[in-house]
Amino acid sequence: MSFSGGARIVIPPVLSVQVVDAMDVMIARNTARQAASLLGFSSASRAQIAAAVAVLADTIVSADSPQTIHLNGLRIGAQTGLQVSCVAPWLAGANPDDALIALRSKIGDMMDEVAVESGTPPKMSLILWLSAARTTQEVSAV
Amino acid sequence: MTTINVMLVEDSQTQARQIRETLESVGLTVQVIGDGADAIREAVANPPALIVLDVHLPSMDGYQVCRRLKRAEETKHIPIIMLTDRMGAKETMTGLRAGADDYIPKDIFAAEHLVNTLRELGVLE
Repeated sequence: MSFSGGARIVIPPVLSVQVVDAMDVMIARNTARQAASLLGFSSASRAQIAAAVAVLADTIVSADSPQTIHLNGLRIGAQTGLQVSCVAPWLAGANPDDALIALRSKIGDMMDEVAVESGTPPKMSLILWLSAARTTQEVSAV
Repeated sequence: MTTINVMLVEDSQTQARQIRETLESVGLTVQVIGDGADAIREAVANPPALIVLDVHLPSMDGYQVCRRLKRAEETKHIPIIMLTDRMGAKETMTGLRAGADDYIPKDIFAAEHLVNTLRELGVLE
């Protein structure tokens, strides 16, 4: 699921977590759950977002490059989502396409949008959009 | 005081003891079951307030147990927390799509994760 064509407006909540070590991975996970809860995501979707943020935080710890993870609401028209982002200076010398493939392989389909923006420093961004199915418990037939 | 019964489905006695201690430390009453099929039978007969479910189980894995519990009329309302060392994206999504309310890691912060989730699910105040 992705949305384009409209202005992306940052909406509350706007939260951030500094990630230095393993303890911060747990804090980042919990902060993500809080942010997702404030936007109305279901418990399973909150768990999904928390797991994706934990992956991002683990990546920061593994890179030994303390960074701040930002979490904010996002709106395009009537559509609301949760955006997670952080700068990734350790990717400065990497091919952005390769970095994106590596990030996607870790995040899988836990988030709707996964992006690596080249720049100084590069930035990683994840978005999960709120939908009717994500506001209630869903059980698949898998 | 109201008793809150939790079913812990975990085949490792060592890990079961650690998780049980965490749950009991916040006032919950814990029944430990080491096998998925037994857990389903017991949950249907005596539905607990919450199920904490390991992924690695002998007769059927935690994903299968979760799916069956979420499909059964008697148990589909029971919150299920999957507790696991398989934290990849694929495994996480498999657990959540099976109907788990949360999927949390068995790391050194497992107790904190568990208590936070219990509060969020309204099992604890």
